[in-house]
Amino acid sequence: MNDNPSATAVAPQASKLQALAGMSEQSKVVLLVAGAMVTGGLLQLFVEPGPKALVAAGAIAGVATFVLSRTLPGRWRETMAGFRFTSVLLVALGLCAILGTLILQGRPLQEYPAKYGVVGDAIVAARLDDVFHSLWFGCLIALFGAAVVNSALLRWPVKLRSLGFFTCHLGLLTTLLGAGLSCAFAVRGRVDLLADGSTVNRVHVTRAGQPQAKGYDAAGNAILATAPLGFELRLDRFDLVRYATEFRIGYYEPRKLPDGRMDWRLKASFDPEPGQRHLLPGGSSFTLTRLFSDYRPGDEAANLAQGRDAAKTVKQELKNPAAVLQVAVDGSAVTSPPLVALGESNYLPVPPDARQVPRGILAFEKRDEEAKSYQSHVTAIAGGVSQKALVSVNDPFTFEGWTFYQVNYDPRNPKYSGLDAVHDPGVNFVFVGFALIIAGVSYMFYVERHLGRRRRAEVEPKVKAAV
Amino acid sequence: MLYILAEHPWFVAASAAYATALALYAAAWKSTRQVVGRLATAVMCAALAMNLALIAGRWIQADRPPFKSLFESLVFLSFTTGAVYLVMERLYRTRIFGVLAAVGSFGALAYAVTKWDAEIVKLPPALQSGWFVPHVVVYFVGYGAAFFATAVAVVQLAAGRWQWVRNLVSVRVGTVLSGQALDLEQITYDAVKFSFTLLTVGLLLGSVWAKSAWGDYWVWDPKENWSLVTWLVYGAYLHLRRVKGWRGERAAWLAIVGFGVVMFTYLGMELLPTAQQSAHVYTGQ
Repeated sequence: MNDNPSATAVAPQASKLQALAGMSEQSKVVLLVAGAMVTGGLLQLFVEPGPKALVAAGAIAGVATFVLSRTLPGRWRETMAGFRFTSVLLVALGLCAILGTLILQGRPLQEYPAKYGVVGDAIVAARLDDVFHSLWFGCLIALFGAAVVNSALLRWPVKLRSLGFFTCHLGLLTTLLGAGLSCAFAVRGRVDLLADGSTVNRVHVTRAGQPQAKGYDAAGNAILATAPLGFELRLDRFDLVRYATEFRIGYYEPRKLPDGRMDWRLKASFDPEPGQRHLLPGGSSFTLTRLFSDYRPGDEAANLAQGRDAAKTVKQELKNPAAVLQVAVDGSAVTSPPLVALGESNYLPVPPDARQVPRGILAFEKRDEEAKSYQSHVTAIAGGVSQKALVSVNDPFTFEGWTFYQVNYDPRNPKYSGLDAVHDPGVNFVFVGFALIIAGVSYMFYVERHLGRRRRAEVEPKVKAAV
Repeated sequence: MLYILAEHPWFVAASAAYATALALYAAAWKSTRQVVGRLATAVMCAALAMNLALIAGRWIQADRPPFKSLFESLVFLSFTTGAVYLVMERLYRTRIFGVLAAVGSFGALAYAVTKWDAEIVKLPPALQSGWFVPHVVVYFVGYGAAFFATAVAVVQLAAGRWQWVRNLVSVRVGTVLSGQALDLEQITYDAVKFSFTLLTVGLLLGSVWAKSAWGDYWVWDPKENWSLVTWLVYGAYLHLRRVKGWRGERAAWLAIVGFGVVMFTYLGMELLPTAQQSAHVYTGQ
């Protein structure tokens, strides 16, 4: 009989440790993945999920898992560095990513019960409405981080043969670190600018594109959260550049809408090329026989002069263009009156016979005027020093740690421009991580195997000689 | 449909060439004469040249890279599928998979006809980026490699079940040029490695592009998520290959699942309830 009470307490603990140590690899894998998700799920009952909570929980869970894997007896470290565990983890992360595309994300919480019924409450409770910011997902990422560290350390010290694997995993870690920094410390906001000489020095903080409230006033109105820029920003001019105006001969077919109404759908589009015969859906065809660059109704002499050489006309600037089409349906050809693109009588039914139900219509019309570029000419002013810049989509402007992106405009107010301002201390880590991942994967797959071949080539003759 | 074919003879010619290559590769399965296989390769090369001409012509006509709409991307996918196959044919010295590659290229063109653009649209500002072409090209070559990996995996699974497939894979003059038996699993693995490398580069290029366009390198957009799923599935394949019991048929099935995910990522986004939240759904889809 053991009289020492501490010994009796230690004994069950030791047996638990032995049980943990004796688990099969599969059981360990299941325990780790399920444990991380359950722990995160329970944690978010007590901790309000948010960027900082997510990063803190992920970091603590990652470090804790890593330390435990190094201290627990029974090859836990090897399990976490193993291919089986990594595969299961990758599949689990993949399933989470899929889940985030099957359930609407980031909507107001009251929308879920309305949309999903009883399941809606469960979705909100498990934070499936924001899968990628839930703590259980954070714990899964933490587990991934710990697995990556363990795998990388297993290849330490790095040799030429394991350089790719190590670099790739170092890249993953650097990316995770950068993503953590972005999540916890990045500030994103909207800057609404008017080209009226005014300046702004604060951004309205946003999350997932929505303004963030820092509180509510006495009337219950949201007080929007703002962040200081540290300098003044002025919009000097906003330009909406459009593509050049173009004209087309469009062929439309009737289409029944889900609500039973009919509309016309563009089925085919042709450049106004004179003389060329084009086939239409349904077997009809048409030819553009005359093209007027500046059609003047009633002035036949002027029209006759400009419409004579259609090939020449197509290269001219089209001011008020009109086209004459010859439509062939079921063997008989009909020539249309001039269809004025900018006028009301710019279309022709196919077949042109008014007694028949039209299968489609041919219209000579202006193409949709699509935006080519949104350009904000801005000036940033800090301490008496000013810097002018052009901000457009894919061409942001960086000043004093903030980067400005062209994201909004108002078709009714040409003096307005909306920019997103981002201050992200993690992005450089993320991009360095990306470069390391690409370098590591490429080296692992395409350099290491050649190293292996070369080594075999060096060894084999020696072995043969020895034999 | 006929009006499209009549209006676009080069499209018809490229499709017909792929169909002819398909027939010739199939004939090479049975024939012991080298000329049949060589002819199949030559026709496949011609089909690719015509496909490339279609892409170049569209590029000139639209005055922009022709990767904007689903139709345009399908024409490009047809090309990358065939091009990746031809490289593999040369690399592994076998024409066994020519039929499947030709089916893939022809299938992509046939599907493109059903998604024909009513007109060529201009490039919106978000797509006017130096990252656009490398991102799309790398991804679609990766898709081509994923298709090839799946084709080999399918042959591997079929060879395990049917004798006539085993006969095809055995050494023949027309199809196996090296005179050595093919290691189908190794070929699948090599193709997945190649595809995975390109998918990695494509994913990360897209992320860098998103940062320069919108200020975020990752926004959990449905298309981004599914691209990540593709990467994770192939990542799992590459890891599981080192786990006991995960070679052979299991690995082949996993490669097929990976390609299924690739195709869903490419074509299935509009089926998702979150599709409206995506900035990546193709026009014309």
